[in-house]
Amino acid sequence: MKDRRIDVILCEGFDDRSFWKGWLLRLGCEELLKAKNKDALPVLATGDRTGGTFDYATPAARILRVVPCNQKKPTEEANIKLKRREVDSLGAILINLDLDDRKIEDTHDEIETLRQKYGGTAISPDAFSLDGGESKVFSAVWWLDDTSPPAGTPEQNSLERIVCWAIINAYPDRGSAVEAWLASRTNPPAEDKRHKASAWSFYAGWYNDHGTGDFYSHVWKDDKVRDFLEKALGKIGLK
Amino acid sequence: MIHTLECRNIRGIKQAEISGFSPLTVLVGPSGCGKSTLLDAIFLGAKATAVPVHTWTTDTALNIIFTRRAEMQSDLVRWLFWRGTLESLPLLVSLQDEGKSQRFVQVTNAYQKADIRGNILPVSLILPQPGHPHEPLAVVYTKQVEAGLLGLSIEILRGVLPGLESILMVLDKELQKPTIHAVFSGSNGSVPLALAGDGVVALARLCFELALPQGSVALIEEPEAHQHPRATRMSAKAMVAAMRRGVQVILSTHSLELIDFLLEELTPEEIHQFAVLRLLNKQGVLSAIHHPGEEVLSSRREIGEDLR
Repeated sequence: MKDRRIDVILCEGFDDRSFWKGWLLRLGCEELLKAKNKDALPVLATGDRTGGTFDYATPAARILRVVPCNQKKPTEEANIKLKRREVDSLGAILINLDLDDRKIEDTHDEIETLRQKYGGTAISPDAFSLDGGESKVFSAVWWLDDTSPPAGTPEQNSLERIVCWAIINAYPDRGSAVEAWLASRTNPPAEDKRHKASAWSFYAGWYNDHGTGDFYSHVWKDDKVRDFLEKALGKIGLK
Repeated sequence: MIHTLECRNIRGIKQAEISGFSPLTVLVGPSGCGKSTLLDAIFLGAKATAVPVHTWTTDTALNIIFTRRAEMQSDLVRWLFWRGTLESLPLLVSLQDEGKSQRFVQVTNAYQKADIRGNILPVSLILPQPGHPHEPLAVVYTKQVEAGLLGLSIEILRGVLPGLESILMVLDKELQKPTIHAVFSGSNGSVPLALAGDGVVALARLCFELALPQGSVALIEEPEAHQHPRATRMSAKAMVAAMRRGVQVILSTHSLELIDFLLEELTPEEIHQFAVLRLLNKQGVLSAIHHPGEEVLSSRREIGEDLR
């Protein structure tokens, strides 16, 4: 019998959704509307294009849904998804978070709270299973622990930091150019958004032909950048 | 206000215990999961009288349950029971108000007298969709006049039909029958409501039937059927207005638009009076996922979650 379950990635925003798009297409997923193997896929019971959701067909003929949930909302949305896991035929949920003003331990606490609420079995501090393994919940935080990033890499652990680091690693000259440009600004905005300023600068300088929404997916098309990204994601458990 | 429903062996529901009904409750779920049966169960539980079930068909209020289903017409009450077996386990409906049992109906056989405790509850089953057997609008109008609710009906309709001045019952000269006409401000004469589209007539019927006394319960099946989104928005307006007057509204729908329109009508202070129940029927055992109003608001507005 065909497995009707749907897997879900709950991310914070549209940039994260775009980044996932680049990687998922790289991994062989197809956008659902363009999928060639539609007959092999489960039939979606509910609307698939609401709220900025992107759906993909995986090479294993499953549906993977990427849902941008606004900052700090992925865990709340995971709570609703878990409540409805049976009616929505839910397989796995990946809760994808930025650290922002949280510590990584806080994200573990959030996962543990969900696990206890739904009586899950812990797999690791950031994962648990439910219903005898029918549903699984994982979390992944955009985070790179390295004490020596190349010059120009923003400090705040975030998706932007990973992407900027990957670009600077591949093209060191771009990193120094962005750093020089940011330093040259008169009355720059608050430094707490430096990671965004850096990412936007790389976008404006080298990837602007596809629009801001596609910047984070198009970095995956650059071989040099992609190698670093795949290693970085491997370090946070995404392979 | 009905808070909890327990029922057994009614149509496609072998067993159900659903709680969390709010002043405004939306039932959602796939076709065949039991939304209509749940409305039937509440209606039967509220209105059934202590006589054998097969005589309920002569009761005007309950007759609608039987006559709106073709299979019931062919075999009367058989299909009211779980899997259509008259000799099956007892049909039971229990309605509770905040934990206190209000009304209990048990029928062990269609030809035996029903065991009923508690008074008949003021519940109305509203089936606005064209195609259902309906009382003519003139009859609904007359009932509203007799109940002293005509003014309220017209007030609700004015709230959703811009420019409406009044609704009148006039005698059709050719047919020599009473017909319902709408009078709009700035126009000469009146317009027969029957000339309007099915969606408008359904909306008018909904507004008339929602003019219920405070403390009543309105059960509404798929009010969005045949309606343009603008009319659906107006229906949402009428249902929220009914809730504000102290009428408990329980409706079934497949429309995400309707849920969104209800959210738009509700104020932040009213959102806790709203709930969505997502039904799940597993081999006759009906359960519900309860989404309180705040959760519905957050799910729809911020994430676009499809709650159906």
